[in-house]
Amino acid sequence: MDLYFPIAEMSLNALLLFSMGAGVGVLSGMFGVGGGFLMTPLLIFVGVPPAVAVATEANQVVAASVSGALAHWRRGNVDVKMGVVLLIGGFIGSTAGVWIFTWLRQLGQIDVVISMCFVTFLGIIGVLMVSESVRAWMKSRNPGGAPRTKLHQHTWLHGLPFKMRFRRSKLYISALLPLGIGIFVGILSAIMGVGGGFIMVPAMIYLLGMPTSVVVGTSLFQIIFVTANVTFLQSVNNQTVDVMLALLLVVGSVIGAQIGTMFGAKLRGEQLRALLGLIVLAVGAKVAWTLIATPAELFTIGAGGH
Amino acid sequence: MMRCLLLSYFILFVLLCAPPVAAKPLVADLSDTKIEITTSFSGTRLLLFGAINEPGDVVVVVRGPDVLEAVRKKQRVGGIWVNGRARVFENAPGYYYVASSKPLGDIASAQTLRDYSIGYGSFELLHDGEFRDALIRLKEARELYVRRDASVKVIDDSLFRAELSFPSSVPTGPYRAEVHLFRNGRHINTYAKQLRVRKVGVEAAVFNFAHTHSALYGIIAVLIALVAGWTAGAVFRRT
Repeated sequence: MDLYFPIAEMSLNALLLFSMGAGVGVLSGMFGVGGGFLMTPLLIFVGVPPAVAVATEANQVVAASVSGALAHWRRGNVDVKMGVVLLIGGFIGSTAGVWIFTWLRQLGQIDVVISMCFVTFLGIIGVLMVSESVRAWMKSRNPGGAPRTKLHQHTWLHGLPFKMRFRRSKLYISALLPLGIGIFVGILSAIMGVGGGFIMVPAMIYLLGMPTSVVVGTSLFQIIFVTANVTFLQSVNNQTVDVMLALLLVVGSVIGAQIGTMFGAKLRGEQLRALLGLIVLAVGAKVAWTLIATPAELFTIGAGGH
Repeated sequence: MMRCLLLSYFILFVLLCAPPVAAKPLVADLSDTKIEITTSFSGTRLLLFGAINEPGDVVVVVRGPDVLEAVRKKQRVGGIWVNGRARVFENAPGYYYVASSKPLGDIASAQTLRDYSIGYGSFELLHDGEFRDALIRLKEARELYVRRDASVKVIDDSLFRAELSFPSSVPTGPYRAEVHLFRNGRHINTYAKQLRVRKVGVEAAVFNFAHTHSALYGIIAVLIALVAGWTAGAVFRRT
């Protein structure tokens, strides 16, 4: 069944979009990720204009994050103070990001920049995930081999000013750190149409040293607000948010997420991480191929800018 | 759609039975004068039909509203294909259809065809060369430019019909359908009909709202997402 989408200004197969939503939903349920970093490239693959794909996906991530964030909130797994500091950075970053996005769109380079961001981050994250799970697998076969690392390592990052106490995370660190992370992820969120959890979560664990129990909840908490800001600003600046497309994806993804959660409980953590890493690498490779391969058609047309 | 086709076949049938009208050299009509883009819209077809009172060559031209199109050429920078030079066409037809009863070159001279805005050669575009060629090639690939030589069927030198096709990405706005009659390379007559393409219902409401009340649209988009996410969470928590 084909449906016409008013902002994308094209008709797309509703079943295909629903399946994409469900497929990415299964992955996000299994791995506890938002799925924006997979959905945006998929939307572009099926022909949605990149500007519409990014803005619409930000809207979908709002919905996808709410139910997860609420579940963590009820269990008390949200460090609100840390979340608010990240959020301030996120607002600054995503506002700047939408501005950069609009500027690149006028230059006619937004498609290339979106693809390059995806290749870079999907590549890095994919390699890290696969190598880490391989290392863990090796360690499990050869126990007691590697020396224990210190829990807290003090680096120059801990010498920064404006120190703040984060009780829930049991941290006393400079507010500039979470602020900077928030800004960086906010910019990426606006340009790539992702929640940014896949960067935020490792940054919180390795850079801030937050306890893993509050990492996912706090990340989801601030993602809601940052992607809401992106949705709002994209609507105002570019009119590229397609609510009908977003809604169809949301329906698919919430159903998929429930199935994914059931699967996730049955698989082992290391296998799970390696599997997600491989999926991430595959999508990254596909995007990279579109940048590197000589295109059959050297010309493109689009209404945007000069 | 089906009803429109049946109706036009009925009209054709009536035209066939009636004695030829001597007065008008050319009459024509469309199976519908408006195309409405609804949620289920995935492109459409229309029938253009009519009659001529003497043998001749028929050319059908349908032109949509002008649009701004930026054509960009990709170039390799450091191993990556990026968008390089660009040309902006400010008055490219958003839709252009041309069909004829014989190959266009056999109907009239290139100059005559241009005089009546027939064929891609008649486009008055800002840029020539590879960018112009690319514009036409890309629009043809999207079925927004259609050229069908010798596709107009003329029956008994009096009745003719042409099938128009519009893809789902058809631009909205006023369209003009023209039928030209040529004989021995000379233009005899033109008959014009107006056609309108517009979004209706939910499609129109969403599109217009997004453009006229962008901020409110953004807030509502966020609210819908919040409610959808919360509802989903609540439903699945209970089951």
